[in-house]
Amino acid sequence: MARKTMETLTDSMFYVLLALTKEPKFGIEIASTIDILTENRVNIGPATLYTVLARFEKEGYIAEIAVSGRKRTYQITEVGLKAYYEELKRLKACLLDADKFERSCE
Amino acid sequence: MDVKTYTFVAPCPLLDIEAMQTWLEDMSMEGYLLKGCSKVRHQFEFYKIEPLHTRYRSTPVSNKIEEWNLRPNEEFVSITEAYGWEHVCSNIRLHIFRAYDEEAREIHTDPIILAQAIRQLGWRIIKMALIWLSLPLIYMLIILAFGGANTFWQTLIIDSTGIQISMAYVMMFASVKSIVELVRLCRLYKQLKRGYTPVNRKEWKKKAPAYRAAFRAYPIILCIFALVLVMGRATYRDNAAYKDLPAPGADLPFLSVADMAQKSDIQSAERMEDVNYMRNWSHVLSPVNYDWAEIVEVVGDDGTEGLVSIDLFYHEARFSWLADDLAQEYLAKAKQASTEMTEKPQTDADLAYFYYNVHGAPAAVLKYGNTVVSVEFPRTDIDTPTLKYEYWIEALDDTLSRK
Repeated sequence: MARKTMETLTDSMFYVLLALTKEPKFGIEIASTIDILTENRVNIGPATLYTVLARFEKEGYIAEIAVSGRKRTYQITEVGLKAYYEELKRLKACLLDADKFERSCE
Repeated sequence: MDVKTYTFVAPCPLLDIEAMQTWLEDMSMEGYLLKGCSKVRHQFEFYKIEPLHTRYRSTPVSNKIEEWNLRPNEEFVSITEAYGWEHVCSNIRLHIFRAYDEEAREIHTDPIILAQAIRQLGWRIIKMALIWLSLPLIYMLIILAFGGANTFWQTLIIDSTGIQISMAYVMMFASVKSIVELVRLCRLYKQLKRGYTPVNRKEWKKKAPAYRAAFRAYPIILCIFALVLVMGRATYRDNAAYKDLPAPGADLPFLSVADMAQKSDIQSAERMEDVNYMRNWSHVLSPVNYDWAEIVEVVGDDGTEGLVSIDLFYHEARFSWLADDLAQEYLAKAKQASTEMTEKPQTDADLAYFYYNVHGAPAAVLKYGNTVVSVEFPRTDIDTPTLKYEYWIEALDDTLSRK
């Protein structure tokens, strides 16, 4: 069955939330954090990043807390954190399943 | 120094994002660098330069990104610039970006997120179409509210073929264009949801001639459709059991409805327009009108026999303004080449004008409330009190004032 976008997060969505979990950031900071963290394995395009930010703001996952010139700083909200940890839990469960399966095959 | 610019019509639909990007890149390779684009039309403006390899990408206009002037949000522009993309122009559907660097990161890297942006654009198109479609609705509401009661609105709106054609055009334009665009977006949306990555080099040349021809023919076809629609409506109304309108009669300022339509039609009609498409006349006529001309054989009190003829035009207007208009028109007609009577009969009419018509026959224009009567007595030459003109006027007055 097809996943609903906001029920489970896409990679881009997950990494944007991840980048915001520790401190508020503005757009380019979020993208560069993801680049560094994933060693460029995950690249988020500017339009993708902006669409995700707009969607998250609309859904209440993040909130704009400051505007300085062309920069807008975003902070993750309680709702966003909850969604992030739920997704993290789901991904960990997937990893555990995969690990269990690998071991059972050995 | 002014640099000469060249304008081209896009050879592919705006929302065929892949073909559009490829076309712009091909133009660049031919030495045309995009300068700007029309906000609503499919026109693109180019500088002439040395052939250059350039990458173009477009992203759907969304509520968050768009400003009122259709420029993307400054923050969005700054993020794209940081990744080597320059915002070139925006139209009502897309923002177009350009990069000279082959290594510049793709502006969309997640098909699912792009699908969301496409979906958002789809809703935007639906909203715009609804706004356009509401115009004919407002037009219809104005007709319903004022159409039958006000000559100004009737003339301006109901009788205006230009407005009717425009409304029909707007309806078709909004519907057809939006449906075509939504179908295209739906197809792309489904592909993206399945993980499809847009192709950067899409063949656009094959379909370009057909698209260009369709693009040019589209407004003409719509105009023809609009004309056919409006004219068809008029023809339908004209042919619906009504005779051709003869030229206005020499003795009558109006043609009565009874001249043009069946009595049953008149009685069943809700509006004057339903029975009479003759716009010049319709605002002064009402479905209960009739004309009556009769030659009556009469015997007077003194035993004198004779013939009396009466021509009577009777109008019962639905509205007081209509009755006023009608009476004024009859009055104006009566005053032309006629002589006002010096001895006028007594009447209870709101308005009464007694005169001799061009043939010297006595006549009168009478108005009782919303009832307007124009009566002539071509033959009243029998000198008998009961056959005299005054007698008939008195009888008429009694009948109408009691009404």
